[in-house]
Amino acid sequence: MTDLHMTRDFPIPPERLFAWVSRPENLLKWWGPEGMHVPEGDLDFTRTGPWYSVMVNGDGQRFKVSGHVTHVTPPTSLGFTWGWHDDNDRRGPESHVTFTISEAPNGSRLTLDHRDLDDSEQSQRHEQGWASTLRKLSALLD
Amino acid sequence: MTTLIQSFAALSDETRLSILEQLMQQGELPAGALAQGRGITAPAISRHLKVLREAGLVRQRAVGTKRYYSPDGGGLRLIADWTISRRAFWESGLDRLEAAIQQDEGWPG
Repeated sequence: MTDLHMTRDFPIPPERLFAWVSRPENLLKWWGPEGMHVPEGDLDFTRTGPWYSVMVNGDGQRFKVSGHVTHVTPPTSLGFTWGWHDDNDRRGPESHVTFTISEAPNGSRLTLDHRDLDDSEQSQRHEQGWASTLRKLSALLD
Repeated sequence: MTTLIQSFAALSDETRLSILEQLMQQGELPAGALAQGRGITAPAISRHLKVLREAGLVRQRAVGTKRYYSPDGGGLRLIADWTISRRAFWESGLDRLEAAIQQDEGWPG
């Protein structure tokens, strides 16, 4: 489906950047889009295990996402699974996020990958079909 | 989610995707105009249009015995929201991370 790959450079050493993307008190400062706050959650990527966060926007709408921290390798990498919950708290399809930190000329580089997990051939086939549909559609919507 | 799956299922067909493309480019059209150039029969085009309508992608307007079709903004908006949501989420988060680090570290200029 839609694998997302983004990089961003920061003028701080990898160890400090790793703290920014793993420690709860730091994550809360940037987690989620502008205008959202996180009144509820267990957002700690310094250890493996379950995590979740509930974000609330200006209109009071709640968005819950949860998963499992699968690996933590300071200061270079961490990974967690990701699934949105619907209004009835049912968890949707699972995807996987990794933060990778490497040295950059003036500090460090954060690479963010958000990939879908396909657990069967059938879902893979669906996703291929959707991907091409989406490519055409997004061209039209541009 | 159900609606999204229905939308994608409806569009996983070359004819239906091309019908929607044509409607998005040309606006409202009668069923006859959509059958033209596709080499398919009127009943076949109606079946495709029915699938698109049920998926919330196409709207139907009746004038006497004639039926006019146009793209349904609601269903298309759902797909657009879904495709941008993931990138927007992280882009916006990384902007905030950059600002937070900047404030914390006292970046020059």
